[in-house]
Amino acid sequence: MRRAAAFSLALVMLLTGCSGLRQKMRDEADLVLVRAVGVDGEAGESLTVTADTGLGEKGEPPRTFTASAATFGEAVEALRMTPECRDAFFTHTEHLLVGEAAAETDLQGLLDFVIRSPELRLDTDLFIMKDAGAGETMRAVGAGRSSAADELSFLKRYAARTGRGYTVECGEAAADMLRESAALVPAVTVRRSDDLTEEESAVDLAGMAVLREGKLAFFLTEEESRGAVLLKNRCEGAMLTVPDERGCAVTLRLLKAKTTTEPSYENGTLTGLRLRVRLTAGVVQTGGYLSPEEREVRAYIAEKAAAAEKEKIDAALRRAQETGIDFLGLGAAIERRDPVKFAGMKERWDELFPTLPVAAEVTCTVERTYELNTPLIYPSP
Amino acid sequence: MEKIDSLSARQKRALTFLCLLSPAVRQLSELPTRAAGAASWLCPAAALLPALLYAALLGAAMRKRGPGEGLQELLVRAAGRVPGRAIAALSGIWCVFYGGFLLRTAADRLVSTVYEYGGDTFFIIILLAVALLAALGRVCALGRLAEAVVPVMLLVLAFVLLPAMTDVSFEYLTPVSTLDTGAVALGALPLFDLLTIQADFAFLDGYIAPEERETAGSLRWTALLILCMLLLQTATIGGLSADIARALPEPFFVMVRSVSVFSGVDGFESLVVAVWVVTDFLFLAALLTIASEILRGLFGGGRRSVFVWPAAAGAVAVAAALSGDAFAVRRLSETVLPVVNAGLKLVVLPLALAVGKLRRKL
Repeated sequence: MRRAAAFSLALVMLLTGCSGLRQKMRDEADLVLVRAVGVDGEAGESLTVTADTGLGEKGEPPRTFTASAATFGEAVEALRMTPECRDAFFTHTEHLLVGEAAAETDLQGLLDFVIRSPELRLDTDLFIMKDAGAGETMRAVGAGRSSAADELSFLKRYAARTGRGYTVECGEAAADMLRESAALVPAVTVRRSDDLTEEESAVDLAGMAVLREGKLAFFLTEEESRGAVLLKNRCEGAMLTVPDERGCAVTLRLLKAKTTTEPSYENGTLTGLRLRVRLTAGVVQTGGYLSPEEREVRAYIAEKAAAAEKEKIDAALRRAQETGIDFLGLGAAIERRDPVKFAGMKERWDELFPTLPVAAEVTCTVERTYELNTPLIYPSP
Repeated sequence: MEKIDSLSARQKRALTFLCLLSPAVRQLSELPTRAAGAASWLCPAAALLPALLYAALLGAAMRKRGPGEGLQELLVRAAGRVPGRAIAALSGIWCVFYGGFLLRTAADRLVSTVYEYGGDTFFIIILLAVALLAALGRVCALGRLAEAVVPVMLLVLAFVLLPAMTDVSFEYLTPVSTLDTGAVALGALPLFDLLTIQADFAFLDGYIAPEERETAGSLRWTALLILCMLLLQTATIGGLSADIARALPEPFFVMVRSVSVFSGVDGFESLVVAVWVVTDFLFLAALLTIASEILRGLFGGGRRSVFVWPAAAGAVAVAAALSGDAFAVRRLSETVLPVVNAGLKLVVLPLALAVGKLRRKL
């Protein structure tokens, strides 16, 4: 028993590298822990990979390394061969930032490598760079007070609150492309605002990008992105300002969006699709004297909010049907609801979708007013 | 028995449970995922009833054994000396062959999930050396080790599955409809087939003193194994999606790579892979022990440990013959192995026992 237990323990130690036999122990400071990887260029021609370590624990500036090769896998290996990036660890990679050109040519190859590699993980966030190169952006952001890795980590936490997008992992994007034939991933752009010096840049969310057949198909506008976020039930705290009955601004936080799909059939044939989008909101601020405590006031605000969001939802639906790409996953939603009925039309879904009558019905419920129930009315002097 | 060597029924069940857990992960990723897709998480549940029935029938047959008798002696009694020994010999060859296959797949898993740059020969040698040492020892040591490893394994499973379940997407587990019935049933077949391997462990029953509630215990452990399979498949399919899982050779370990506890602790996939290797080692040691026990019976007794060597040599020969091509191993795992196992466990063995019943020998 003891002998066998000792063997088992030795086996685990040896095979996990805990024995120290696998590699020499190294000082943590000497390790290059890659947190974000940028990809530019065209697959098959010359693909450039940029690795970003992010800010150090004590605020040390980020380190970026670059290498080029014909494919992503080869470029990662070439990166590892550069003197300053030897023994780089890619296991901590949190974000994959893909330049527009690389995404347009071969995103499938990148995802294939990420899924296949024992080092990279499927939960690595995927971002598409809009109107700029990934490596160029990473270096520009790194030249300032931040790093691309930290900026993308910030976006991961707060993207859903902007209402313009949400983060998507590599595995999720690949799965969506396989299941729904299209996937939505966040697009980012370089921001140079007044609070940044001339050399400084930041990364900003620029809505969502649509992927199809393993490539970038197109970018959604901000309005379409918001509609897509709502239809995908991924709205988690986006703000919205609407007028109350007296025209004073009321700011709401959209806490939740819940979309249900109601297909209609005639003789077993799909004739239309109704989407019921239920929004839940909380009042963040009112500028007037009307109290959201009153049912009528709440109903008016909710109606305005629903109407405002419906426009965005309609814009997203229009774009999906015009392009014939079901990036909203409506086919998959119908399949989940009526798998037997959908089985007969699954193969023809791409043909049916562009001309299918789709109507969105948006309702909003103002659920809470937080700490202030009724607006404070200050007496005139 | 060569020495005072005994195994408790509980230890045997623990050993069987651990041994079947390792191939279960591989089997789940094959036909069930490919055939049933999003509904494949239901395949283990569909395998429950036939697996319990098989375990109950096997238990009922084994209750007829006399003191010191295992399945081999029972087969000789049931089918006659020559046919009984022939079936036992076939089972021994099967164990050796499966041992070689196991050596190869365990090494292959380490290469494809952790040691990207490695070759499989090193891992085959290590695994074989450790399994050989365990198989050369007493059967009760193997049983006690299995009993000690079960809580560790369940803890590792809980550690992986609890956070993995929070990442499960309902969308990846649906749609499920009546249209999936055939596919789920088809996917359940290899799982049921795998669970019949517990019949091989009945060759060790000569070491076990008969117990009152032996069958009930066996049914409980079979149900526990199926529950583990259900949770493993739900976490894998719900975390990765069936479309991705069916493209991966070891989707469970890819899923584990993405699991993090409280967004802080992650990267424990190599630990999980290594713990899984312990089950491979136990299974290999058990197969060598079973094969040597059968050989000992065929050659008229003697020290069991003497027969471990030819069994191990056979397993190495099989592993060497399979080396070099991961695709061939996968094909073998999907086609030849389940068919041969089913032929042996679902046709030959029940037939021999039925003949014994008709001859009133059982």
